Amino acid sequence: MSSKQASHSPEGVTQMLAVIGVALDPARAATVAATITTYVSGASKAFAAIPFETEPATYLARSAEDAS
Amino acid sequence: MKSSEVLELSAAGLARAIRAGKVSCASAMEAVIARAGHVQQGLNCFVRIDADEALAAARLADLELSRGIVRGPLHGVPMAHKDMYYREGVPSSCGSKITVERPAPTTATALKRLDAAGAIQFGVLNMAEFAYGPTGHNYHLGHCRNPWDPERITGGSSSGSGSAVAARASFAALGSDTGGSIRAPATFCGLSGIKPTWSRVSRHGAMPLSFSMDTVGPLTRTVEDCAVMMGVMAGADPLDPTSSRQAVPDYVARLSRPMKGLRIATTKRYFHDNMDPEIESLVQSSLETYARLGAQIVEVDLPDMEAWGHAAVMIIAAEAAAAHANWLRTRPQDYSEQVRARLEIGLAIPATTYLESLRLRGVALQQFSESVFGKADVLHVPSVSFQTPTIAETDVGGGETMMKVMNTITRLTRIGNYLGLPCLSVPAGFAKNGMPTAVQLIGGQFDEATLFAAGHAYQQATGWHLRSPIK
Repeated sequence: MSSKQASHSPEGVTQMLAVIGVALDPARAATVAATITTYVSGASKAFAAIPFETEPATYLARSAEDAS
Repeated sequence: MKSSEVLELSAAGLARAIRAGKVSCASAMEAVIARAGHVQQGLNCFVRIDADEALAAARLADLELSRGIVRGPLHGVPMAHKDMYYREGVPSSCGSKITVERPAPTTATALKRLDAAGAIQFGVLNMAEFAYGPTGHNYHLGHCRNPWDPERITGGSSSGSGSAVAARASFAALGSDTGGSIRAPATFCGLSGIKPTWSRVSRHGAMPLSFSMDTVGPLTRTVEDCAVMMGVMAGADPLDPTSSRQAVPDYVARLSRPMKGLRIATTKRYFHDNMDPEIESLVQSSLETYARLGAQIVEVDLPDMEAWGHAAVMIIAAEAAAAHANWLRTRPQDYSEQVRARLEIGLAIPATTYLESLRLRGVALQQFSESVFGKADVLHVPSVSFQTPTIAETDVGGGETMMKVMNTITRLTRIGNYLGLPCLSVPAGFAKNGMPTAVQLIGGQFDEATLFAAGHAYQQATGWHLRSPIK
């Protein structure tokens, strides 16, 4: 299990949300943790393609427009 | 014209009839308000109908016409919009229990521009709670229902927009699209709908869900209507610093571009995984229509996009959770179980994963553009891979199957949001159960004009968009 997955155990997620003042229903903690693990690991498979200098493309189209 | 004939007109068709003196603005408004009242009990597509104000505005529009004043290309056309486009001082529910208590702080630029073009808003429409649901369920306002079969979903989050326009209870409607929220209801309700290039239409005064994925666009009965409305709404807005300064082409003038010579890409990758055979057959028929119209069909091989779909979910979830964090702390009980559960997921996504998902976007756009637009002008793909499910089948609450259902519905649409590209959903026929389906045309950045030309040509050749669920 990777460190990211470990940090998304039901207990870990519940504690983290408590820190920011959100009470997570214990009945949903396992679902939240499993969902995050699924999507984080799914997205991470493509991150190796990102060049080191790349900045977040928050404003994707505008960035391209300004560059052109 | 009889009111039933008026109601079958497109928005552009009604505008032409009004300018020609064949229909008065007031009679069109009376007809659509009567239809809205008639269908509301069965479809629950309206949140509010402002009949008196709208009729007064329609009479004023007639008076202006009698004096030779035409405000714009939509003079006198009645419209209702998704209840997340603010009018200053008026509460917008945003499909929720929370914002309905609060007067809107500003007026949406999209509404101001439609007003200036002569459109008359007569009501606001049901939607998924905070635009965070792709089915049309709403546990606060009641579920919105599909006029083709009220037991089946409308799609969301622009559920009321899809339902009302299909039911001829509005001539057009604004939706919003962050992961498919215009294209899903357009598909399931048999309408045309455009998710524009990100930044093409100002987001000022539109409820935020995910600021780097949100887009503003119309749901209409024809592609021509999409072109007219986008021509009115698109363009730079000082109130939305992210809005594009790129010039807006005359979309309507370019509708008649011939299909001969247009290169339309098709692919076997990703978009055709696990397709329902009947939907697949309709999508293929659509492609054959383009070939008959003279388009050149080009097969392209796409990069592996599965991870991009996951990255899109990460971005939407994290940004939505950030927007809602204060209310999640102070009034969590005012969210439905499903929306609260999805927002809680966003709160726990690692910051690095969110940022890596954003950093990947430019890389993904470059790979996708090289694969598709190096060889073709438009990519032709399905909007969904499955037949329209029932409301009961997709009533999954906040439980374990929630994300599977949500992400199955948006699997083919959220890629367009992630890449920031324009995507036009066009009706492409009907399944044996009588439900419409659609194809999605994906274009290069800011190339909505080519999508409109391709969609319009297809509608001239097929007529699927003319079928009405109202008997």
